[in-house]
Amino acid sequence: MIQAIDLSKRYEDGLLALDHLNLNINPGQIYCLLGANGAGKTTTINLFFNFIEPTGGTALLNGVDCTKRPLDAKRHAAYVSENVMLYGNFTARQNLDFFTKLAGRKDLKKEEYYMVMRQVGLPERAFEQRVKTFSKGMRQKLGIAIAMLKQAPALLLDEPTSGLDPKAAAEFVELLLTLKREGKAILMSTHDIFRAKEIADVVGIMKEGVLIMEKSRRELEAEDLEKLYLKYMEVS
Amino acid sequence: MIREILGKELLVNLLSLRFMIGLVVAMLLMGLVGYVLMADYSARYQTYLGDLQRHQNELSQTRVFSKVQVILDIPPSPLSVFSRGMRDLPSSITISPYHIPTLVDDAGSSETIHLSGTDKNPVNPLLKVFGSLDVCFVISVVLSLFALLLVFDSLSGEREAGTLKLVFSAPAGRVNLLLGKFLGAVITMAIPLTIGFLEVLILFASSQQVSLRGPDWAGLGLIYSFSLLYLAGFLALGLLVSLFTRESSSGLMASLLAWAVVVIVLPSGLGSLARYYYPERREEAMLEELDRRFSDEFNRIPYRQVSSWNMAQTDPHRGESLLGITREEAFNRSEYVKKAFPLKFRYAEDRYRIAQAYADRLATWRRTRDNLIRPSLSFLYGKICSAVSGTDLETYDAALTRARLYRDALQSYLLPKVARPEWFTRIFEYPDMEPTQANEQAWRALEEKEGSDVYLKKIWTWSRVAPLDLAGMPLMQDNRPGLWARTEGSFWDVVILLGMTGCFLVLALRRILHYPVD
Repeated sequence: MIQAIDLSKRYEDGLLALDHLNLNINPGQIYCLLGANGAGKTTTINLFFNFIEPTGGTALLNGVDCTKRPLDAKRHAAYVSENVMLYGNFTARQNLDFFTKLAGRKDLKKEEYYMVMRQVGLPERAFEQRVKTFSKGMRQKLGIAIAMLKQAPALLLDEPTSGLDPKAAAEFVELLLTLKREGKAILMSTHDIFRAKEIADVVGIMKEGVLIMEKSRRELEAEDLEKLYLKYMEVS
Repeated sequence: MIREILGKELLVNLLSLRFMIGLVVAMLLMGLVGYVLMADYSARYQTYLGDLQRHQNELSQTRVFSKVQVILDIPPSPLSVFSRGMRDLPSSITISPYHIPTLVDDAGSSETIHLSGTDKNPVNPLLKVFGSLDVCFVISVVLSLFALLLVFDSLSGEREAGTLKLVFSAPAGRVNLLLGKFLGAVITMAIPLTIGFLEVLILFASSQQVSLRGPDWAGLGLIYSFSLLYLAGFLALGLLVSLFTRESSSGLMASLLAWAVVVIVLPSGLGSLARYYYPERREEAMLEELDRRFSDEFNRIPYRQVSSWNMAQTDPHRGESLLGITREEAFNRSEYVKKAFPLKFRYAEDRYRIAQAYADRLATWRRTRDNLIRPSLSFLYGKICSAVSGTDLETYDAALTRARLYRDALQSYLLPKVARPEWFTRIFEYPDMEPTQANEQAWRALEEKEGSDVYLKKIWTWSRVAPLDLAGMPLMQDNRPGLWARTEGSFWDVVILLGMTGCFLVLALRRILHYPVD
């Protein structure tokens, strides 16, 4: 569902942000990308949404080339950023309405929006409240609601739990597991090693644009992911 | 997809503080300027009606053909509330066989535009680049700034806020996004524009003296459409600026700079540059030569003065509209008049050719200057609005052409009458002026009784003379250029305005395809 084949990105200033990345995420699978700042995690997600163009290789979403047919590819994936930013003067429902329509779903009723907002754990009073009053946790939940309403088979999240309090982070992870059970393929970049070990089916560690380790849940069961991560980070 | 983005943009704009402030400022200014210009237009219209009546009365009271002159009163355009255009243009043109009107008749006359910059005639309208303070000026300066401030951070702001990534993650397409933003902004700007126009329309509706006719409504529609097109140009420019700036603050600075260049620097800078090449008036020597030549010709016409009463001191060309002369004198003068007046007509034509040559040079200079300033959207917009409103120099020039055509017809009508005594006197309508022995005796008796000036007292009174019958005089055709003819003259300005707006939009569309989101 989410596939990278020799995906590379070299910026105009010469920095090689991503070097021949290969990964494959199947439906119902959560893939956690770990790595220090500047390791290439965000670049990877940016390439799938064609925010930037690759200098080599291919990014595929449900088999559709993200560079050649970006609009088609985007239909198969939803995006949640580290800090979900929405239109502050709009209410939660108005934001949902706009982004859902933008995703091509135009026939939704108010009640359906309310239902999804309940699902992601937003309090009822927030439904018609302006988003500029929302906490980060509430905005992240609304971001997930937008992604859910898009009904895309793939979900790409760029450090979505960063800065969330433990309760909010736990609720967020619970939502991801629900989506996984629904058969979504999920790629999540994160710094949170414990959370990654908790929910990931596959964990990848990136360093300086290279995927230096990839292990499945089973392979990680006997290992301490934190030590493993630090070990890879220390290796020059 | 564009519809969703458009709807969102509209809502975002309407909920923004800057829109509310801009709306209030636009409403206040357009209402205030509309109110002041409405009062000004009403006053000018009343003056026009008064002048029209007075000039018609004066014409109907003409006693000799040599004094026939028609004054073409130019009605003020109700659309001048929107675009005052060249406000220093004369409101009437005098048409007579002795003078052919041009744009550059002698400075100082009330019936010509003033070409000098002296204290007496402080403004030369030809040199003016900025329009008068009118509704279109408010749109040109204030609403254009409002338009730029509405969109200067349209893309860079969303990028800074972080919403752009989420928008671009949707399968909406970047072109759709930009078009949606553009159309949303155009509709947003249409709101203060429409309210401003409605304010002026309410003023029209509440006026007892002013009413709009069919073509005025059409002109109003055109001005509204061109205003929206003009604002769309600034919106496209603002989007382009937003796409080339990373931060909103730099976008704001760049937008203000772009506005200042388009609205102030280009027109005033290039206008000032063009002033250096303003054509000098060089026909003084030619006019002097013409005067000398005609003076010689006048002097060669035989004229034998038989009366002791010499009218020459008050009448430079001798023979015009004399009443207080004897029959013998009148007969003598009629021989002179037959030769002198056709010469005067010819003199007017030669003088016209010299003046028109200068007017043509001025027109060429003005065209060049205008072409130089055309890259300024505000200059183009001002020109289009004054053309549609009928307040531009071209409309006045058309009135001059109309006056000259009528002058030809008037001359054809008057020329055969030069040989008639009514050309310059009505003395023959006094039977007691016949040089008979009985009349002479009667006069002598009166002189003895009432004094030597009895002759003058009796004859020198025009009020006793019936006005001329001017029924056969040609009528002035009302062939003023209509709305479409005036607008047609601005065709290329509209094309350039449209082209520049399209150009900004295409550049913005090209840019957004490669606009970095990270």
